[in-house]
Amino acid sequence: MKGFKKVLAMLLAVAMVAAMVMGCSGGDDAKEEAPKDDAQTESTDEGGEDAAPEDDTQAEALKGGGSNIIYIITPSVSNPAFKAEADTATAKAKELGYEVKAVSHDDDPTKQTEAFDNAIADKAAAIICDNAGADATIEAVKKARDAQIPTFLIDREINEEGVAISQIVANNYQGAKAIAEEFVVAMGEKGKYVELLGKESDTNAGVRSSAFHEVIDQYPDMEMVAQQTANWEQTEAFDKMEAILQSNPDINGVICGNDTMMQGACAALEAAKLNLPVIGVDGSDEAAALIKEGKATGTALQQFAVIASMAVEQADKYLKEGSTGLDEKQLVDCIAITKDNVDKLSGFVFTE
Amino acid sequence: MKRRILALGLVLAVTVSLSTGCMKIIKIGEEGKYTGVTEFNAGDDVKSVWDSNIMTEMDEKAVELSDFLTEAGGDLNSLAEKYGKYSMGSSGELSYVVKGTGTVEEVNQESRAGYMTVKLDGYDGPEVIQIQIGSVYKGSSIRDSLDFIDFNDYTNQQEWAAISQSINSIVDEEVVQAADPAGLSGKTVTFEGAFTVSGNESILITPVRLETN
Repeated sequence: MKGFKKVLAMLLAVAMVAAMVMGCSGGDDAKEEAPKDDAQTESTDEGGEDAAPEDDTQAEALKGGGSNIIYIITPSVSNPAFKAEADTATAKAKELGYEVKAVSHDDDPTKQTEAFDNAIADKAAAIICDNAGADATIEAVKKARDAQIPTFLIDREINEEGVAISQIVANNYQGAKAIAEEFVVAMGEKGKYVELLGKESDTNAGVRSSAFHEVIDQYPDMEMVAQQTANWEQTEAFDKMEAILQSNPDINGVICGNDTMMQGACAALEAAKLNLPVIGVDGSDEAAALIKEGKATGTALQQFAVIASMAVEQADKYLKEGSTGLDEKQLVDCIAITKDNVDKLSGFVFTE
Repeated sequence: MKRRILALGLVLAVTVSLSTGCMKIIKIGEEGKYTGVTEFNAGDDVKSVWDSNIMTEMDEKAVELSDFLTEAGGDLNSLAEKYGKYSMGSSGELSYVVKGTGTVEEVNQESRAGYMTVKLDGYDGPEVIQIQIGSVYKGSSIRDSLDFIDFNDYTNQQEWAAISQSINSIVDEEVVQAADPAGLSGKTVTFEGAFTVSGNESILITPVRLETN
């Protein structure tokens, strides 16, 4: 019996000592593992430009595909905003001595993938892209990256960092919010309104709508009586607005996800002999004209031209120096345009 | 005797093992530091840094508004480099952090985006100085004047916007409502807050401190 106790005591003591020696190393491991994991994921991502500047120098910079061609991939240029974007990027790239291939993906991820594949086949030096989907685009950008081609995203962002070299993002949320504040003032903080939404597949349709509502929903006397998509299109907006007016002839205002839909909505209102507060987003010359004529309240200028030339300049710098010297994600403000400052807007450029 | 030594040894062993911490206690909400996975929650994020980071940085940066306006001489953009922060590095929207004392001339709560107009002590310039008192707050001046919050730390612009929304809701609950703005007309108030430049005629401050004297 006594012997058993002794053995037990010994065992206990050994266990305790072991616990003392080993116990705490577990905690230290946990601490060390976190940064190690980061390093691993970064290296499998081939070097992540998202981190601190020192990582940039460590990571091998992409050399470009070998040719002197810059691919400019945008949504349909039937929208003047994207036309301005594509034209500015093209002009800037030519000015810097590049050959340019500008193509449209029409907001179709499959078409976008084809465009990226063509860029890879053409050994493009760089790709400038206003993308067709925050998730759908990631794979295409990675593929270009594997072919040594750096991608510079403009206007819209994607849901992953460390894949593209730059993401120069128009701050849709801030812009839509700013113009929604003007809308509320124009409405006298009360009344019935209609919302025309953009194309559902486009992230910015949702971003703009939630920014509108962040502002407007704080006013209990503002009531949304209809909300429909018009897919960014002018004719569709006109038709939808006409139909909505049939069942809601007493509305007091309209909010539109972009300016082309605002044009359609304003035309329908005018046909019904109504002149109400209407807002859009983009800052097109057509919207500026409506604001000047007093047929629309305002729009939020996305500085497409500024963003496009920033991207080309950064691509050029990156190809020459191996780094842009800037953060991957760069947010570019929108500017709320009303009758007070509409004179300073022309061709998507706001001149102070 | 032997037993006593054994017992003593045991107690010692237990004490030592406890004090050197065989287990790591992880606070709720901090799992992400160890697993690398965090669920984004703007409200919690902002609350957790309100005193430690937000208020510390605001207090550090706050410039006496009367001095600021005198120095600006009617051009609010002129002090950008000295005191301000641009939303895009060296361009974009410009925000400043200021503080001061003044008399409340008007409390306007007719609009949901309420404000009060303040006559600043020790300054007679033409600028109209207003402090937002909600319940709707315009802009994102506080977020945009802080250096420790960076867009690159967030997944997208919605998260970035949610941060500002959370800041403004803390402002409403803990700063503005606590000061009972409806009864402030004619009183002297001391304030600290941020504003984003929008013309040179008026300043709309979102407060982080608001007290009656």
